[in-house]
Amino acid sequence: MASSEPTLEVINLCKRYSDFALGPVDFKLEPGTVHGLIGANGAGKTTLYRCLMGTVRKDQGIIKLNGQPIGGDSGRWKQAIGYVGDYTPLYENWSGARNLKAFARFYYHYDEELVQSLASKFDLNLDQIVHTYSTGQRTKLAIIHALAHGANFLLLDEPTSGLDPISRDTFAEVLHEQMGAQELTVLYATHYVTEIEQFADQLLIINKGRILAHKVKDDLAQHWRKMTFRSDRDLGELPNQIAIKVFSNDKSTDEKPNFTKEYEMISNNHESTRMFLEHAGAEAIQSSRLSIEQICVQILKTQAGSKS
Amino acid sequence: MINQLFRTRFESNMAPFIVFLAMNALLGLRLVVRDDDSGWRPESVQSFAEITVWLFICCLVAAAMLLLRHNRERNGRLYAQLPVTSLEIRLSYWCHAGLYLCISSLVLLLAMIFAGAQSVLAMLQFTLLYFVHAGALLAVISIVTSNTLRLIPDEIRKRTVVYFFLATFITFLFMFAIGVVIASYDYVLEGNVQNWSLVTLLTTLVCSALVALDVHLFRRKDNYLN
Repeated sequence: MASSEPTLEVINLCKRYSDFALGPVDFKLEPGTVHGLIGANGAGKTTLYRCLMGTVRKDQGIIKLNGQPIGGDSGRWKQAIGYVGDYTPLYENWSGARNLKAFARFYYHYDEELVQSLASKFDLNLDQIVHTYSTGQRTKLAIIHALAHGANFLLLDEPTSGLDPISRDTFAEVLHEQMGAQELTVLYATHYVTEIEQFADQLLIINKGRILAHKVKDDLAQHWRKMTFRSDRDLGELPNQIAIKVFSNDKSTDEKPNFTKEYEMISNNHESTRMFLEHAGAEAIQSSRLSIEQICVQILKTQAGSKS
Repeated sequence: MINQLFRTRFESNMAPFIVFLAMNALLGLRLVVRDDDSGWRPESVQSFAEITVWLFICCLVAAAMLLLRHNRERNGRLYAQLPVTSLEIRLSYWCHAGLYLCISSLVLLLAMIFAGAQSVLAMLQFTLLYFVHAGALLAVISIVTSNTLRLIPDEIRKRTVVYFFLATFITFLFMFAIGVVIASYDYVLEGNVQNWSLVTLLTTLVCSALVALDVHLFRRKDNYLN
């Protein structure tokens, strides 16, 4: 596999249900990068994941994993995927170790040492029968399985749901370690943006079955700002304006009218907005950083506003 | 991967297998402990009918347990995380079900040898006939329980009057098909059929077609793991 080849390439992917449609979706994940997938409930994250895992039949489009189209008459392409979902199906009457041993049969490579080391880190008893596991313990087992078979692409669907804070921290540590040890590409879906802020290089924002934005996280953090300024005249629609609030401030006296307006806006390119405002004679221009979560919320809200 | 799937499935389904073996052992025990004077030793057509029905029941009980477990694993998306295809999943299921069919067919063959039947060819033919009959029955159960067959599209379901007539017609077709099957059994049992090879061939074709249909439906099902 050439290293320049994207790990995952999704081209014109569509999946239609009677009440929901995903797509067309296009994106590429470069090797060794971590992508956060963010969207509201019902945005299409699970449908996208199911298409990527081949558990639903796509209506159209091409999905390429390591340069090869997925599906067809062989399930071998799944050797390269480590999947952790919100629910982990297992053989309920078997121990965790026996489950992993059974799963290991399906893979060319299975790192037993890593299994033991991760189980110890997660404080997971592999000899315990699986039906006595809590949701968090099941997730830990799924994480171990996903990492043990040497996948180069991790598909994580809310992997920390059900994990306690210590285990979440351990998971973050393990993921960092694994990303350092090998060239892992990760697609990480979650509702908690703060959780992936530390990992993600890029963010994929999905809503109503469409990818709204696929941006480098640092670019978003650099360009998106909350800006406040004052002006005594109506400035109309501002460039790069995402959201704006206007507060009227009447300081008029009997002798002299003095109406000023205070503006609070969110800009997706604060440099150009600042230049415009300075030209327009705005005063007290200040800008402050937004968290990635605030930026994502604004992107999603803007989309909802433009649709309505 | 079918090999790995079969092995995992077999290991995780020991309970049906033990039940199945116990039921077969019960039949064997019954055959052995009865002496010739009691008149039960399987020499008559009636005795063989009893044995065959018992083996059918053995197979169906084990297969029903197997199917329940298989459906639960499939619905739980257990296989979604593994590098296997839907074709491999269903073929491994049929390999597993086939194991039960093979064992019960072997038991039937042993019963016939125990009874001292004359012609080896007739014994083998009867065993094959039993095998494909049980296979066809199992395929029908598999199709009905594992594949949600939408005979009437949703658009028609919303139109109450059309739906009522169509549902009535489909029910009639089902009843008619069951009637045809029962009538043909009656026809065969009354001794009207002399060409058993043809019957065996036809049943083999029906069985193969049903198994192929089951695998095809399973593969084509839109969201087969959910």
